[in-house]
Formats: sequence, structure tokens, C-alpha cells
Amino acid sequence: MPIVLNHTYKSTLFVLLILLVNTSLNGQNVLYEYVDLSASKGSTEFFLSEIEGQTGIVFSYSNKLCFKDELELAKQQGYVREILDALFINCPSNYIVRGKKVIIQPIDGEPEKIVVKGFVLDKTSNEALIQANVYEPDLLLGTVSNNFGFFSITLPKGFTHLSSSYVGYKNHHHYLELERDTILYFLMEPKDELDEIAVVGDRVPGKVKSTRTGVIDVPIEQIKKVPVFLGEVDIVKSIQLLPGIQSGGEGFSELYVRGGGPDQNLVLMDDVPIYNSSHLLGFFSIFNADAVNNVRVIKGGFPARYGGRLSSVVDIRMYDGNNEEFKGTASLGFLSGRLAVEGPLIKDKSSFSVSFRRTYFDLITSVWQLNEADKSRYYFYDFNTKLNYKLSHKDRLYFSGYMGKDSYGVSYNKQTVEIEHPDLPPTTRTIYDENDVGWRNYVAAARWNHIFGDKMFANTTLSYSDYRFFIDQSLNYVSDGSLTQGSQEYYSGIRDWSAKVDVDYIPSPRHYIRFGGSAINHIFYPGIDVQLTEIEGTPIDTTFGGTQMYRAEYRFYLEDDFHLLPRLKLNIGGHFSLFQAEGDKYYWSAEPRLSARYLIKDNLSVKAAYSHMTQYMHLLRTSTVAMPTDMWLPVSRDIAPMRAMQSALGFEYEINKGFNLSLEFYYKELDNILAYKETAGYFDFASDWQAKLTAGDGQSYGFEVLLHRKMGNLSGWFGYTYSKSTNQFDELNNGLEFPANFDRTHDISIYTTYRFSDKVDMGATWAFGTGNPITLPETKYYAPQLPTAERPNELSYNQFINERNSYRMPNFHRLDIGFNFKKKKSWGSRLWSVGLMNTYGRQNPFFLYFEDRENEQTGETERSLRQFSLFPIPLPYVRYTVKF
Amino acid sequence: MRKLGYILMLTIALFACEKDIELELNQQSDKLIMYAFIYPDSALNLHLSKSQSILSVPDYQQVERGRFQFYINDNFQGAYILPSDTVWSEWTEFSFDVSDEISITAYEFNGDTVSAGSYIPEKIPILQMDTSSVTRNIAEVGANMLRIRLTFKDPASEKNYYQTLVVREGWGDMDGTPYYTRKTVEYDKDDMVFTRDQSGSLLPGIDFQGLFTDDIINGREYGMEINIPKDNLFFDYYEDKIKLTVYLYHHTDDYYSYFRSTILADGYEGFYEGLPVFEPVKIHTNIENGLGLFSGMNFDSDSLVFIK
Repeated sequence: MPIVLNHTYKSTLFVLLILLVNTSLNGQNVLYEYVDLSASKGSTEFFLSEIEGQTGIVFSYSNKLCFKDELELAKQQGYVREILDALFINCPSNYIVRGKKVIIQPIDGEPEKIVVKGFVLDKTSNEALIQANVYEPDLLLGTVSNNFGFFSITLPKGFTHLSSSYVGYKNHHHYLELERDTILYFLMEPKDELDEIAVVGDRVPGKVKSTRTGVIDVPIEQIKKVPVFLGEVDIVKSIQLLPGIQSGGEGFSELYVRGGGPDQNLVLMDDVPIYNSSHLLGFFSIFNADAVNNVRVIKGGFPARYGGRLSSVVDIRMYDGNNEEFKGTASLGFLSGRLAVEGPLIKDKSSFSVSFRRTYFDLITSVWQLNEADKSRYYFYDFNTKLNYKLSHKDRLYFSGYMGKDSYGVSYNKQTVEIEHPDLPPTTRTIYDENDVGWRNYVAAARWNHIFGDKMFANTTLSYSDYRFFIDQSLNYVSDGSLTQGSQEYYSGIRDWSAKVDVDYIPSPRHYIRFGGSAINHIFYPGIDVQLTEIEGTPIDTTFGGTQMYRAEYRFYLEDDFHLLPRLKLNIGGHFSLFQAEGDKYYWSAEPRLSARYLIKDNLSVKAAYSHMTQYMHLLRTSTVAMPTDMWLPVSRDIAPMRAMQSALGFEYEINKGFNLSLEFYYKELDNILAYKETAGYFDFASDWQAKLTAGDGQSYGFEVLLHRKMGNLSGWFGYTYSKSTNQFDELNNGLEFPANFDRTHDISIYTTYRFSDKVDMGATWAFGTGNPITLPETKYYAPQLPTAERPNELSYNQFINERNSYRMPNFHRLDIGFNFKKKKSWGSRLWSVGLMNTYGRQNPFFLYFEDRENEQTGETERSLRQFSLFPIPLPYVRYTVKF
Repeated sequence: MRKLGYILMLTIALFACEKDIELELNQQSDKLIMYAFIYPDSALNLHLSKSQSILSVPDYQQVERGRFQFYINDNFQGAYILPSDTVWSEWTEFSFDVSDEISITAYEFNGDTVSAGSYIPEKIPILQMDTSSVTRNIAEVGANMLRIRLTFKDPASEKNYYQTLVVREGWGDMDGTPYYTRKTVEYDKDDMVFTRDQSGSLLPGIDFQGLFTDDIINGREYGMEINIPKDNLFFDYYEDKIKLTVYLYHHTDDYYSYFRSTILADGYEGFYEGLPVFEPVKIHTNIENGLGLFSGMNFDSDSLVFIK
């Protein structure tokens, strides 16, 4: 046979074989054939005969089966299995399916329990699907996959139907005869959203779903379609569009959650805390969307496994890497270029994921500055990598790393220096004095997943996180033919080494127990100066200033997610921590975490939560906007930990699969929150940093509405928040309560994405917010030149502030629109993304200030209050992406 | 820090814009403003004015019919009418000694009344002043400095507030007429009393113009070091003699707090080129029912003289 024909023949056989196997698998579906009985009353035998007649099923059963001469069924229609369950409700039985034959066996005593464990994975890439539902729809037993896609569920022996559901994927069903403990993989197939057919029974039964309040899972595909500033996909900016979460100012990537400050958010990248998640002074976040697998935001009802921050957890999981084939994405925008590659290293054993993003503004400016004496440059980059290696069915290793940096540099004082060599003619060299300022994050983690038995999953993580802000300066001084070079470096930051173990123990479908602990060694660098002078080859190295502070932190937690009543599910846990402040000074906390969900109807539930949180470190802020100079510092003898208590009550209504409406009320109290005293600030280095701060309390309450459609051609969300956040400090505002810095009474965000076809989709966001509180002076008065002043006053008047945050800036609103044009190519696909930020050119306030200006008509000086807007005009963006 | 400001400025230059806006400001009644700085063996100089709306162009409004009553060590010194045509009025009939308790009540005829109290702090003697020549600050390779070590003893029983000020004076002859120059010297403030070991040479803090407290030297004899750029020792064309005078001021808590808060308020203006990205600073006052400062002060000094 010719080779080509031989190949075709084998391929056809292979396809037929698959179809045959598939058919035989589907043959087990006889229990899910739909029947419509002719009567609701009759004997057991009558109903079995009727089912046999309608479906062709042949029942086989022993005489031990409890037959009744007369019984009445609650419903006449349903799946075969539902009818059988109703017939034998008083004598539970196993149904063993053999083709069209169903053997009914009465269960003696408690049915034997079988453990089914496994992973929920993306079919095309084998990427773990996190928080996927895995459930038995008839017994209403269920669980969810963890951060590594692992699940474990205990089911009665016999025939079972196990389903898995995940947003954006088709439901996957396994029909099994459970004889012994089983390993099962759900290979989920992404759903073609154009094919929006509602599948009956596709919805996950409410009973098996989460107990949590205040948790939002945002599909990464939705995040990627949000119109973005300068074409940079930004996860944090998408999160800011969710109810209860606000940005610090227009364009910034800070998060203010339910009245909390930006340092009260625990931002995790694959379990490792990130201390500064921004680029370009906060205009962009460091998370390269090409490398992100899952984003989860928790703003209340914190599970016991999280701790260390008061207001929110942003849990970001990166891609493990495609296990099946090599894939890549490359992208060019106004600001940056990105490249992401993933693929298998050893088939079915190991895969990798690497992504890189860098701005090229500096490359462009370097061309302009070719003939300039002084040169400046700015860039930032992100590098993510992740490797995983499967040691066995029970063991897997992960290594992940992140490096990111922002740098702004200036070269100046161009000098030509003659260099003499003893054996060579003298040469000349051009040298510059240089200044660099920037900040960077280095993060690394090694993790080991191990499955103990069938019901216990352990993840052990060793991690390293290093954030540093730096200023470098190097100078050259040529005098009488000799060159003196000097350099200085200033840096501050925080470095963590940590080890932690997280264990998931699933003893039965009714309990999901998590416990674990961690030990963290924090090293705080509050500002260190290094100076190096090299005079004709003799280096002099000096380090001074800024003592390193070593602080140890220990954490333990235990939580159980369980059914107390058939409709009442609870999550009860505790988080315990210990922090070594200074010497023998320790702080500790025992934080109760409780959340409950009561199922009113299968798609309607009421939820409640109560949690305590403690935070042992705080961010000493430079200014009212995020700056890399902001410095993390630990609690001390004089600065006590910040603590928060939050309670919430919510309702969740599942309109359809992946389409939810939620309403949540919350109340939050914050203790020992910190602020600068009214006569101190960051750059006041003449005062001890602790003396500059004052502690107070905060309060926040409100409600949030979220209508979220995660799938379909038209998807997105509508969010509304009403909130009131206040602070009270004895040493601020004369001890009176005042609005918190980013208190926003009304906040609306609408995000929609519509998929017109396979080739075109669009996204639009509209956000509205009550103006932020602002402190404005109301009067001015004479300020004399003081008799001991070293230099003249900047101003000849002082400003008098009566009340803190007593005014509001004008309201904020903005519309952003973006389109994506996709085309399939032989090598993959290409995507053009274009859009317009601030489409109708709204001038939103960034800050307000007073200014004296001359009236051109009258010639008189006038003073007015002015508004400064950062992005007052429509800003277009374009980005080109290829996937291969 | 300014470099960060430049990045922000660059972004702003690319996109930002400004416009006038209307915002209803709360109407505050005008407050009386009073200032007086009192040295031993000197006259009283007094300022009384009224505050203005923040939207007004003038910095203050004159008090037309001002009056004041003055007390030294609780002894009533008299009631006086303030002139309405000067910013400051000088009252030579008073003289003051160290530790005098002083208080004042001032009012606008048929208007508000303000009052304040202070005292004349003790002089803290400079016990010793030594000099040496050093090369400082690698950022300015080769910069030569005159290091002055100033030794004084901090009184243990009280919280003390200080300021070190250096004044350069020059004398000479310019075409037969006497020539005189005077300026305050901005010296390097690296001593621990100024920085608390927090600032770096590349991340400088706000220059508090030599103000410091006894927080880390309480009750001790302390040798404070200041570095004066050597260009202050160069004679200009007409100068024949230079005198560098180092003043060690002993301030009251109120003077220190007022001075410091005005420096903070001004200082932040400079960091981001006037971008108001800092919380506004509340200016300290010790004027009851009003604003301003009423304070005594004292100093000791020592000097270095250089002849051409």
C-alpha cells in the first residue's frame, strides 16, 4: 500500500476507534435518558417495566430489592436515575450499568466509600484550572479544585456521574463504575462563545458551591479585553473596576478596598507577596497578562489561609506552561513589546512558561539624543518564568521567578579623557557623569506538591521576594591629567525569605479542611548609603546609614469548609500569627474567620461572613500618590499592629450559568491605622520615623451590587458601590472624625465586551465616582521672614487649614472603548487592538490648587482655584499581537 | 527625588491640562494674626493683622484700630495703641532678661481679642569651637569643606530646641567707601542631630535650616559637627576681612514648631516642582483665638576671623 494511503487508512481507523470508544463511553449514559411515565401511581414493577419500554433498558435485580405494590411518585418525568432513586428511596441501591443492562443491587448498611482524586486541566494546554467545580449532580456532593487544579472527592461505591464545570469551558462529565479508589483527569475544552446553547442541567447545583462572600474571580480573558491605557493590558486596572475597589487617582494602579489604604492589600504572585506592584510611578502594574492564569480578589470574608493584610487579597496565579505543544505570543504597542513562550520540556513530565515585556521609549529617545550633550532614558521590564516537573502521579515540582525593574537615567557632563598605556600610544575615551533612579522586584519560589494517600494534598513553598528602590550616581573629575571617579548608591526596600506548607485534606465530600503554617524572615532596609571613590585606581568604599532590621514572622491556620445542614454550609477557621518586633518584643494575633451560606433556592443563597485581620508592617508613604520611595517598615515597641474586623451579609442569585447577581453589605472597623502627624512628613528626616506617625481608627460601611456575566458573546459586569469611610485620630483634625482619603460615596463601573464574530470583538468601560475628599485651606495670613531663617521664605503667607478632607473634588467619570480584530493565519493568529481612552475627553481632577494669575483684560492679579487633569483628552492606543 | 518628579512631569507634560473650577468654600471669619520675637536686652517688635480669604490676592489685611496690653513676669506693663500704617511696630520701652515670662493680649477695637504667652530661654553657651579641613561629599568629587566642631552642654531637666546658624560677614573698601557684605551660610547638615541617620546623600530630606532638638543628646555635652563649603572663605574683590559667626540659638517649643511647620509646608512645594501631592501641613501657632507666633529666643555665638 502506498505510504500516503497507508497513513490515511490508519488515521481513519484511529478516528473510528475513538468514535467507538466514545460511543461505548456514552453508552453508560442510559441512566440519564429522559422518561415520561404514563402514571404517577403503581407498583415498583410497573414503573420498571415502563422505563424498560421507553428506553430499551433491561433491569436485573435480586429478590432482596424492596419492591412495593403501591407507591406514588412525586413526579412523572425525569432522568432514569432520578426515577430509580425515587422508587428505592427507602432501600438505597447501587446501579451497575452494563451496556443497556442495569443491575440494581440493594446496599447493605452504609455504602462503601471510594475516593476519586485527580486534576482539572485545560484540554489543549494541560494548564491547571483553579477553583473549578467538581460535583456529583444527583447526590449533590461536590468540591473545588485547588490552586494546582487538584481535587479529591469521596463517593459511594457503584455507578457514579461526576461533572466538572469552569467558566469559559464546556462542562465535562465522567460516568464511572466505582470499584476502588480512582484517579481522574477532567480535560476541559474551552467553549466557543458564539455557540451559546443553554444546556439543561449544565448549571452547577448551588449546594456544592462556595460559602465565601466578598470573593470575585475575574476570568483572565475578560481582563485582556478591557480597553487599556496606551495599549498595556493591566490586571490591576481591571480589578479597580470591581465594586468596593477604587483607584487612588486617575491612571494609577493603587487599590483602595472598602476604606483601606494601598498598603493593606496582600498582592500574591504564585503565593509570594509583592511589595510594589507598579511601573512608571504607578501608571502600570507589573503583571504581564500574557503570563497570568487566574486572578482572584478577596475583599471580605477572608479564608483562614490568608493573613497579614487588613483589606484585601489579590491572588494571582501564573501559567505553568503548555504541556502539549509549543505556543507563543508576541505583541507590540505604543509603550512596550511583549513576548511569551510556553511548551513542554519533556512530554507529559515537564513544561515551561517564559514571558518578557519591555518598554522602548528609551530606544526612541536615544535616537533623538544622538547629538545631545546630555542624554536621558527611561524603561521598565518584566521577566516571568515558570518550570514544572512531574516526578510521579503524586509529586510535582515548580520553580518560578520574576524580575522587574523601572529605571530613569541621565548622562551629563561629557568629558574626553586621555588614557595612557605604558606600551601603547595614548587613547581617548568619552565619559559621562550619570544618575540613575529606579526600583525593582526580584521574586523566586520553589514548590513541591505531594499527594498523601487519596485525600491529602500538600504544597511546600520556599520563596524569596526582594523589593528595592535605588538612586545611583557616578561622577568623574579630571584634574591635571589624573582621573578621579566617585560613585554613590542609596537604596531602601524589603527582602523576605519564607518557607510555608499548605495542606488540603478532604476527608469526605462534606468537609474540606485546609491547614498550614509559614515562617518568614523579613529584612527591612530603611535607607542605606554606599559611597565609592576611586582615585587613580585606589578604591575607597564606605557604607553608612540605615540599619537593617531583621524581623521574624510566623503564621498558622486551620479552616474547614463543611455542611452543617443540607442547605447550610459553613467555613470556620482561625489564623494565628506571631511577629518579633524589636528584641524580646513580640506581637501576636488569633483571628477568627467565619463565613456561612444558606441556600434559599438552588440558585439563590444568602451569605454572611465575619473576620479579623492583623497587619504587622506598614508603608511609610512619601506623598498622596504612590511613589517608589514609599517605605515598608515593621511594627515596633511604639507602633502597634494595625487590626481590622469586618462583617458582611450578602445575597447571590445565579441567573444563569456564569451569570450572577450579588448584593453585599459590609461593615469594617480598623484599629491602629497610621498617618503622618499634621506637622510631619516623609522627608522630615530630622525626626525619628516613629515620632512622625500617629495612630487612629477607621470605619467603613456600605453595600455593593455586582451583576457579572462571565461568558457568552455579551459579557462583562455592572458594579455599584455605596460606601462611607471615615477616620478618627486624636492628633489629627482636632480629634474630630473626617472622611478617609479615598472615601467615595457612589461608585459605578460598567464593563461590557461583545463578540461580533470570530474575528471582531469590542470592549467598553464606563466608570463614575463621587469626587475624592480633599483638604483645602480657606484662609491665608501674613508669614514674616523669621529672624533666624537661613534663607528667604518661599511664600509670604501661610495657609490656614480648618478641617481635613472637608471638600470634594468634582465627580469622576470616563468612557474607554476598544476593538480587537483577530485573523487566523497558517501559523496561528494575529490581533489588532485599537481603542480610545477617555473617549469623550472628560477632564477629571487629579488635584486642585490655588494660583495667582494676571487677568489679561484688566491687568489685575486674580486668584482662583484650579483643577489639574492628567488625561484630559481622548487618548488613542493601538497594539499588534501575534499568537503562534 | 527630583528625578521621580521629572518622570511625573514628563507624563504630565505629555497629557495634562489645567482649568479654573468653581468650588463653594466655607466662609471663615477673619482671624487676628500676631507675631513677636523677643531677645534679651532688645526692644519688642510686634505685628498685628488679619487673615484673608484664600482667594484674595493680598496676603493679609491691616488692623486699623489695634490695641495691646503687655505683661512681663505677670506685671502689667501698660496698654498701647498700635499704628495702622506699618507692618511691624517697635516698642523700645520694654527690655527683657533671661527667663522672663512674657504675655500679651491684643485686640481690634470692637473686634476680636487674641492672647499669647512665652518666655526668654536661657543662653546655652558654646563651650568650644574647633575647626579642621576635610574633603566631603563624594557626589561633588573633591569638594573641600571647613569642618567646625561646636561643643555645648544640653540641660538635662527640660526638653530643649536649638538652631545652628552660620553668618558670613565681609568688610573692605570700595573706591574709598566702606564695603560690607552679610549672608547666611547654607552648610552641610550631616550631624546625627539633624538627620537621625535616616537621610542619604542621594535622598536628602528637607533642610530644616539648622533646627534640632535634644532627643538624642539629652543632658549630655555634645560636639556637633557642621561642614561649611570652603568657597565661603574666599575673599571677593573688595573684601579685606571675613568673619564667620556660628550662632547656637536656644528656642522655645513654639518657635521651633512654627519654624519647622513653615519649612515643611514650603519644602514640599519644592520636591515635586509645586505639584501638591502632599497632605497640606498645619502651621503651628501659640496665639489663642488667632494665628501667628509670640516667642522669646536666646543665643550664644562664636566666630572665626580671616584677614586677607
